[in-house]
Amino acid sequence: MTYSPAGKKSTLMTSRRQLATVIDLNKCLACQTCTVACKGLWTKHPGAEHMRFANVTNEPGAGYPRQWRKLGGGYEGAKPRPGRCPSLSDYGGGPRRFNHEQVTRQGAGQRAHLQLLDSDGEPPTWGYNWDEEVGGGAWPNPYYINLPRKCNHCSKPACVDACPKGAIYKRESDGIVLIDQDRCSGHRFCIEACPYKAIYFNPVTQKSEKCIECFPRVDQGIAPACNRQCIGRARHYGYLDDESGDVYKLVEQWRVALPLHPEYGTLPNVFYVPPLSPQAFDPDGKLLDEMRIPMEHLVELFGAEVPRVLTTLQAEIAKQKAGESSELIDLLVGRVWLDRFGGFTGDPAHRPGERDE
Amino acid sequence: MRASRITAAVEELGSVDAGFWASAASAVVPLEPTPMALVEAVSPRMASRTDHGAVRSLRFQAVHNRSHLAIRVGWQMTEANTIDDLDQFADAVAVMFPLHRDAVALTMGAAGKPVNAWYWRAGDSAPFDVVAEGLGTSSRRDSKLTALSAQSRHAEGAWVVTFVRPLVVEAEAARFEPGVRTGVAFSVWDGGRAERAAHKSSSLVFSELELEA
Ligand code: SF4
Ligand code: SF4
Repeated sequence: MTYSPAGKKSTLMTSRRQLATVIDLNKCLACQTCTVACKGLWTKHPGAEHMRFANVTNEPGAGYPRQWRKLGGGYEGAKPRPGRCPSLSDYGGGPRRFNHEQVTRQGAGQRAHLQLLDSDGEPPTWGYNWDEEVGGGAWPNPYYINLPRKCNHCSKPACVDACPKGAIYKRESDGIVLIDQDRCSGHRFCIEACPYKAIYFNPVTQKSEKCIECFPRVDQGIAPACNRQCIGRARHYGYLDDESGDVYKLVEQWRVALPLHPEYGTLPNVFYVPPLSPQAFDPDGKLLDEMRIPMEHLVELFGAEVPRVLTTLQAEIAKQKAGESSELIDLLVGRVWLDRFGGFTGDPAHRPGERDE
Repeated sequence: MRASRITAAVEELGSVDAGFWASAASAVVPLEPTPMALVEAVSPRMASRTDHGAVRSLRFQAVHNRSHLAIRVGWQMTEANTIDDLDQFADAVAVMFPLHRDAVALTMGAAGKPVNAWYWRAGDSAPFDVVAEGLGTSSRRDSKLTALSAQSRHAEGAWVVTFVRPLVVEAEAARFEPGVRTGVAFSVWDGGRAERAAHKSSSLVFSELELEA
């Protein structure tokens, strides 16, 4: 069935096929190109200033919105786990401005220096990616992980389940989760419900907005901007059941890509290849045969499968180093850039069907 | 409950402070928390929270001038709540009428048995005209469609809200006629307690409202 606003909850929550993203955390360099690619396309309108449907923050860290993991949502067994909405300051506040006026026109040039101020005119004390590279671990073994996030277009979307208006639905053909802006009343049960806090309230329209998985591009065979623009070549895209695609191979066949916080119970469809670590040092600076990133932390993020995945990655790297070939490493390296998009290889700079000469 | 017929200009009818309200009959309507069993199917998450419905009564008054109906409602609310941040919710009130003789207030009507409501929310520039055919189906329409207007005041720990609408409008909406009875039901949302949608206090059933001939 296609979407109808009065549709049954179970219909709104299911799809025939599912598009998915795989992100290799060994390759993400936190360049924020995905963040900017998304921002420029989808959240430049009034009331969307605080929104970053695609975002990258460091682990361990408060994340974006701030302390999103402590705001609840998702499921506890079969039951909804209570959740809260973030405040504007949790996103880093409203747009910031330089104090040009003060420095250039109020005769304060000798006292005041040019600086960026919060929307309330105060120097900022929090912002997007504020704790970048703070990370965790103690000397001589500090560490951090770059964690890019977006809506997971979940297979059990708590947001759809929670909306009393039937305004949120999964597209039947590909599982993309969308909010019908005509139906949305801004009640924000979805924001409370999403354990990833991937839904944002627009105070101007008084409605909720979220990642639309660039569906107007996807409908023309073009990969979402966050995935296509990724300069780290960290991302793969495609249908989860397309056996010829990278996503299927990494998630189902090699089983090296895992969902973030599977315990939240929403069955996310963004999968992460967990990061290998540099070796740790002992206090005298000697290299140890231990990982720099604590295994417990990775397990906390991606579940109990992490040790198995890291063992597979190490074994395949060893094979490659020994001069044998590894299908897995070839997939992750991805020598032909367009191979990683599961057939969504269209170029947004060209009209559909137009050839890149 | 009764809407007395008075002589007043339309602009005056909508005023929360108009002199005629002092002498207009008033009724106290008891309110109750909406039972969450009703919304289990539309939102299990909403149904799992049951700390709503703190406002337990509302004061109701109504008058008409043969062309327009004015309704004035008031209820206790220590602080006025508006959406000043992304995690805040606004106080609101709705007055609902059946569009079908068998429409049930508790469920906001049902398929083929619609209801019509006037919805005011603190901080909004205009009220909404709402139609629904059951819980979760409500649809907000521009108040211009039915020439619905509202005014409000928060003072001394209470809200007073007035609604004014022509007795008859072209759109699919409640119609009023002097001498004829209709049903009326009420809902109040306490924004400070994050009440919205079915998290509210409600009169649960339609009471009779007669417009004086
Ligand atoms: S990540 Fe959140 S918003 Fe996206 S589908 Fe899952 S529950 Fe819904
Ligand atoms: S564009 Fe790619 S490499 Fe850059 S931050 Fe995003 S996911 Fe990481």
